[in-house]
Formats: sequence, C-alpha cells, structure tokens
Amino acid sequence: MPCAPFIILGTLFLVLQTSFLPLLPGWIGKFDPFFVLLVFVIVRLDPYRGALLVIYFGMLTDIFSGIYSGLHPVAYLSLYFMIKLLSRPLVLNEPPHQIPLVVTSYFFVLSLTHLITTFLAPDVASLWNWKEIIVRLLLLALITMPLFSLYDFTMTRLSPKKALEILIKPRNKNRFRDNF
Amino acid sequence: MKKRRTKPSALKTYFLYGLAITVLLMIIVSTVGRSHFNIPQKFGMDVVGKGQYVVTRIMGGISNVWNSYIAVLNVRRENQVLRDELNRVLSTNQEYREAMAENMRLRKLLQVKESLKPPTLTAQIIGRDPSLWFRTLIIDRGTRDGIEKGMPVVTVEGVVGQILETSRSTSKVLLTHDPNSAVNALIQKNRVQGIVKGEGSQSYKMSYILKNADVEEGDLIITSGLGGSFPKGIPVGTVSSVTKSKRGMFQDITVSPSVNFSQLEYLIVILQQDSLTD
Repeated sequence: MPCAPFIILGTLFLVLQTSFLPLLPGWIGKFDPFFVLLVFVIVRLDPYRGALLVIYFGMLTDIFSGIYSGLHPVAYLSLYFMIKLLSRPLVLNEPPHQIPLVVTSYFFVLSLTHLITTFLAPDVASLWNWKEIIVRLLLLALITMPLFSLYDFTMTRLSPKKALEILIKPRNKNRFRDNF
Repeated sequence: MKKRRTKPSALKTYFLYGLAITVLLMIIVSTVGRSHFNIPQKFGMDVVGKGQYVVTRIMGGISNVWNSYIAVLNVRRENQVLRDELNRVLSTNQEYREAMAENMRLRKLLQVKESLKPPTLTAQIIGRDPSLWFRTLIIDRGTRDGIEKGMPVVTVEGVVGQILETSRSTSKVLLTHDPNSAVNALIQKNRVQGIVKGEGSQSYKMSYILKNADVEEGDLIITSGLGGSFPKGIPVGTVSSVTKSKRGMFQDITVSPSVNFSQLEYLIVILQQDSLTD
C-alpha cells in the first residue's frame, strides 16, 4: 500500500480544516476528518508505513497549529503506541470498535497536548472547556464510520490484493497470535 | 534444556519499536530549545500555505458572488437605509472634521512633533489554528515581504498579535488572546502600567495594577511601548470589569478586546526592526 494517497489526503484535510472549515458558522466548522484519517492510518496500514505517516502528520500539524515545535509528533506517536498496545488484547480493526476507538484516541491526544502545554507553560490560563470538547467528540463519532468506509474504499481501490485479503481473511482464528 | 528461538515477527516488532523510539527521541532532542522552524517545516509551511491561499481565494470568490446575489435581492430596501445612513455619516463627518481641525490647532500650539510611523504591510489571513489550546493564524506574507519574527500585527481597531514564525511566503501570528501572549499596556486616563494577558476567550486579563489605582469599567487600555514589541498608543481594549479582592496587592481587571478575533480578514503588520529578541 503506497503512502502517497494518504499523504495527499492528509495534507488536503489539513488545508481545509485551517482555511475553509473555520469560516463555517458554529459547530459545522469543527469536524475533524484529519484525525479520523490519522487513526485509520494507525489501525489499517502496516506498522512501518503507519509510523512514518503518523510522524509526517504530526510534523505537518505542528506547522499550522500551536506554538511548540514537536508537540504533535510526540502526541501522535504516543497515540500510535497506545493503539498498537491495545490492539494486542482487543480487535480494534473491527467496525464496532471504530467509534469508541476514534473518540477515545481524540480525547487521549487532547489530554496529552494539554498536559504537555501546561507543563511547558505552567503560569498560563488553562483552556480546558468540556462543552467544546464534547461537541468535537460527538462530531467525530458522527463522521467516523462514513470516513472509515471512505478510507477503506480508497485503500481497496488502490490495492486490490489487500481488499481480497480483508474479504477472505477468516474472522474466527486466534487473534492473539498474529500481533501486528 | 531447549533454547527458544526468537520468532521473525517478534524481531520485526522490536525493530519497529526501536525505530519509532529513535525517531521520537530525535524529534524531541531536535525540538527542545529551538525557537525557529527548520527547513522542512518552512518548506511545508510554504507548500500548505499555497493550498490555504487557493482555498481562501475560492471561498472569497464564492462569498462575493453570494453577497452580490443577496445585495441585488435587497437593493431597494438597502438603498433607502443607505441614504439615511449617508446623511447621518455626512453629519458625523462634519463633526469629525471640526474635531480634527481643533486637534491640529492644539498640536501646533503645544508644538508636539508627530513621530514617524514605521512602514506597514497589509496581509490576508489564509489559515486558522484548528486546535483547542492555541490561538494562531497564518497570513499570506513572509520573509520575502520583509516580515520577521516578533513584528507586531494590528488592525484599525487595535492590537491583534505578533509574528511567531515565518517562511518565505507565509507567517504564523500568535494572537493576543492566546494564553501564551502578553502585551505591555497602560490605562489611558491615568497612565498606570500593567501587563495584558490572553485568556483564550474573547477577553484579556490585566495584571499588576495596584489596588489604589483608579480603574473603572470603560477605561481605554493602550499599548505602553515598553519592551519594544508594540509601538506606544495602539488600542488594546476597554476595561469590562474590576474586582478588588481582600487579599493581594493587585486588582483583578478583565479587558474586552478592541478587536473581534472571529471577524478578522485583513491585518496590518508593522515592519519595525528589532521587535523581538530571541
């Protein structure tokens, strides 16, 4: 599976989220398809490409968001390791887990970035806002499944072999044996 | 005793984790203490900045067409409203002219020399920070236009922020209402100095104003010029609430910004030299 389509898609989403979506009124502009793509990349892509894309996405986000260099690569890589560790006992690749996975991951990254920024600048006012966070989590829950389907479609169109693998792969085998 | 052999998949896993941790450490080590973007980050900012510029232009075009359509629909009613407004504005304008003439006369009388304003540059906002924890903007001007880190950014209404990072064609602006932002300011009526800090929301906090200072709601806060970041006299906001708690030496002053951060489109960058030390 080549990384290029996901690099283009991620960059495009970031451009839209920083230029077009903020112009929309109220909650409509708070959708975060970029984050769903990030989780998709961690879950679906092989570990090597997944890790590379996560670092790229982190560095790209760093340029256009925040004031501390290295904050987002660290947060996204931490998420990567968390998901990879959780995928040992849990079957995170299955559709029923998609929404809880994305929502939990978003909350994890939000908390981690907040923790790091608080640590880096302890005297500044905290911007923790439950209402805003819940709105964003709900919006993420809303778009997760359609976007996962879209990304799956993109991936299978780009790699028919992979699609065949997903379709043929037996579901009742021992999932604890084949980590990664 | 039978020796267990390490499986290739386990080796692969160890290798992956080793690689990722190495990259993580490299990122952390290369980032700590660095106050400027590196070359790939600047390149990335330029490339994505172009995309943001295109999307902003397209959205601007669509918005213009839509506004024109709405304007045509409401043209008759608006025409009447505008005529009435024009009459009011003409009347106000006359008053302003009179005030300006008086001002000029007073200036001549006091022989106050007008200080030369530094050169300025107009910039368009092409990107906004989508995160919850930071308040930054991307503008379509960069180092090729003479922009440097630390230069003050304002609008006609008042202070907006400071240049945080630059690339060749774009720059990142740290807005004044970001919690990491602080501006040296003073209360216009009594010249008492303090520091205005961002709170993330549409308000500031003014710190270090002693309890015996005379501060009231509606007082105008302007930049003090101290620190060299902002020129003196630019509006920052107006006092919206004053609280004197029993403990402590200082008053709790909330300031309402003179700028509406959600409605910013074009900004003015003041091209002053040595605006910030690294």
